[in-house]
Amino acid sequence: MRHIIHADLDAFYAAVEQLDNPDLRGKPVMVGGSPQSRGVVATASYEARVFGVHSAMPMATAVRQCPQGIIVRPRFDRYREMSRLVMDIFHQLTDLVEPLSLDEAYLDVTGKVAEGRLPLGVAIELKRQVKDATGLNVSVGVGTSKSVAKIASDLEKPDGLVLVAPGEEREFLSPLPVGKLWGVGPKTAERLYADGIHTIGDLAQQPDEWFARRFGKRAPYVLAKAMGQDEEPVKTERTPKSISAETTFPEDISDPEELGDVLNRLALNVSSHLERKEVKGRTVTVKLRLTDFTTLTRQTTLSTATNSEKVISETGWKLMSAELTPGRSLRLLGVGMSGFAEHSDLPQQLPLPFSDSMSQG
Amino acid sequence: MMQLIFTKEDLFRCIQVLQSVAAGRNTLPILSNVLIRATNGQIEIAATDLEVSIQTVVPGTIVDEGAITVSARKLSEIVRELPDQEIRLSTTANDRIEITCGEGVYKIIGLPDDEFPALPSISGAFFTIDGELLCSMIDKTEFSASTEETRYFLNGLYFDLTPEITQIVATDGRRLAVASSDALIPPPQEPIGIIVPLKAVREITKTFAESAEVKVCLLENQIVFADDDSTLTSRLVEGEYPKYQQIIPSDNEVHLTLNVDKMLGGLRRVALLSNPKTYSIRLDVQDGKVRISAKAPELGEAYETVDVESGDGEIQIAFDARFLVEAVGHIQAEDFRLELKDSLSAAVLKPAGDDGHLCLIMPMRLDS
Repeated sequence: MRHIIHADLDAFYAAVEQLDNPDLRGKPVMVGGSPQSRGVVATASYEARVFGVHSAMPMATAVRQCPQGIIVRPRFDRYREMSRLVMDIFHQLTDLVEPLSLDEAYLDVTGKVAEGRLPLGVAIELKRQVKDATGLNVSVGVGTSKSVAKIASDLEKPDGLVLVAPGEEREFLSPLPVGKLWGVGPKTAERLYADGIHTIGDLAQQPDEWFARRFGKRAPYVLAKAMGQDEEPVKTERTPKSISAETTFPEDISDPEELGDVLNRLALNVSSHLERKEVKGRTVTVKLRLTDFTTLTRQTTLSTATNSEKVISETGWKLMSAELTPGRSLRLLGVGMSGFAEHSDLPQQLPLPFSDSMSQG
Repeated sequence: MMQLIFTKEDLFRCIQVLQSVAAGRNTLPILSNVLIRATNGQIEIAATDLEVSIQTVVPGTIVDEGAITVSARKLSEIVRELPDQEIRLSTTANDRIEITCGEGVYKIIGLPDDEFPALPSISGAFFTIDGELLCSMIDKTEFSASTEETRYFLNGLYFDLTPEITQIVATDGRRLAVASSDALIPPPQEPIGIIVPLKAVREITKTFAESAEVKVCLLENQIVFADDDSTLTSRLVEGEYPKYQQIIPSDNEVHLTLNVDKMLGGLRRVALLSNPKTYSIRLDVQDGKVRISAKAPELGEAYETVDVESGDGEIQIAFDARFLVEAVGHIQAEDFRLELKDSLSAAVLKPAGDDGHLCLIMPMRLDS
């Protein structure tokens, strides 16, 4: 049996801002772009969430809903720095850490439990260490699979700790809305609702043929998740062939500036992931899914390998903006990096010794 | 209704140039069209993607004047396949165009000409330059420009125009090429520095290679090139071009004169066995000879020796073979000078006895 922790920092960007600036504490903070430039909310503090403000919401809407909200421009370098501190703490606990983004990771702590520690004790200590080292609250879910741990961590945010005891997975999942299940997106959830399936329990009771019809090839995975039995391993730091980040929008987006904001965030994710893996890539790919589900991928190869957020987002922007035409909206945007440099000992091309702006990239 | 008569050759030559300017798909439909306009006894065809525009006069007979726009790609595809006979092109109702040639009739749906963007023309003060010289300066530099999208201000040629000299510059951050002349008439009174995008540069060489005199005119954010038949307008690339003059070394002490053809042949052959990941090629200069060598793991190795015509020195240095081949290949002379300092500093290549062309290439770090 495995013991998996899903750890998720609470309102990460906003929490860092409140930590660094005492004037913001206890106040509704909205980190993101400006409402004039059609920016979006990257993270809202819990004080702002009370007013219905949530991430990916246009900042202009957020300001209407929460006029007293304080808009703070994101400082990604600082978030990355804090993220590194937190990830280091995770790594001290176990080698099996799978970061999902700057503020979220799976940890396989089976080894610690085998040493005689209780899963609950491991989770409490993890929360305390993160708080002591950074001042940030982390919500933690503990379970025997990734999907259960992930759902658990979300349940009592902020500063939550939910443990699902072995054998109680199905009972735990059963009353939860079906949309909470990993792999059931809003559209699927809507269709399931129409079929009278509201909870994960309802879903788990469906016969196999129904699953096969509804989910096709994915049926066994979805069923296993609904039963709380998925076997997906915590994937650690082995160097993959490509690193990417993507996001599906709640509503299709056509505004280039808004898409640019999303792109910057994805590029930051990819760049910090590359940094953690200590690799640099040469090929930047963007993935665009249009309203009609057509998926386009566009890529370009740079002359030198990089992990720079700036280069990734600028290159991604070039690729993306070429595809944006008036009236075209996106439902999904992704950015990826591949073509990792394998041999750092190969002869290296030297750059011309320009003194000015040329040194970047 | 407009009615025009062309020879296949005249129409096709013109459409081909314009088609590469017209925008591809995914933009405003009107931008993938060419404008065909017959007024004042002249037939003009134009294309634009809002970055680069070309208008050019096509020889042909006007039966009736008029104007229309039509898909550049379709028109070019059709004209390419037509037999070598008289082509009649006329407009019909509802913005359609009808092409008849031999036994064939082709009707294409077009768009009205008044939707086509207005195109700038030469206005105000202008310089002139010999078209062949302009194109040769471009040819000597363009290969060094960057096509990488991150440093967009390097995706073009820098026109560095001063009262003393006209220089065209290209760099991708690892190599640099400069072509100079004093051919701009009149020379500008104040220095002017502008970046012309590569797309426009390529059209310049297609359009003006045989022009005796090209007028060059600067508008706000745009540059216009024109001769009697064609006008090419391009948006300028915004951004600050790197200060290239500061990095051209003057203290390279090893000076070698080499034969262009011998060196180019040797480089090309040996490069075939360079590491396909790096294209690294090595030059060992010693005892009046240059030994070119390359090695590729699991593939093989090669070396070739080229005699130095004059000069001496001793140095080991490695380069990206592609950079060397391109630079030497663009030298318009029998011999060239190779000036080196050490294995980590830029090499200078110049045609022997000609200060109007210079290439700078940074080496690769030698593996020990």
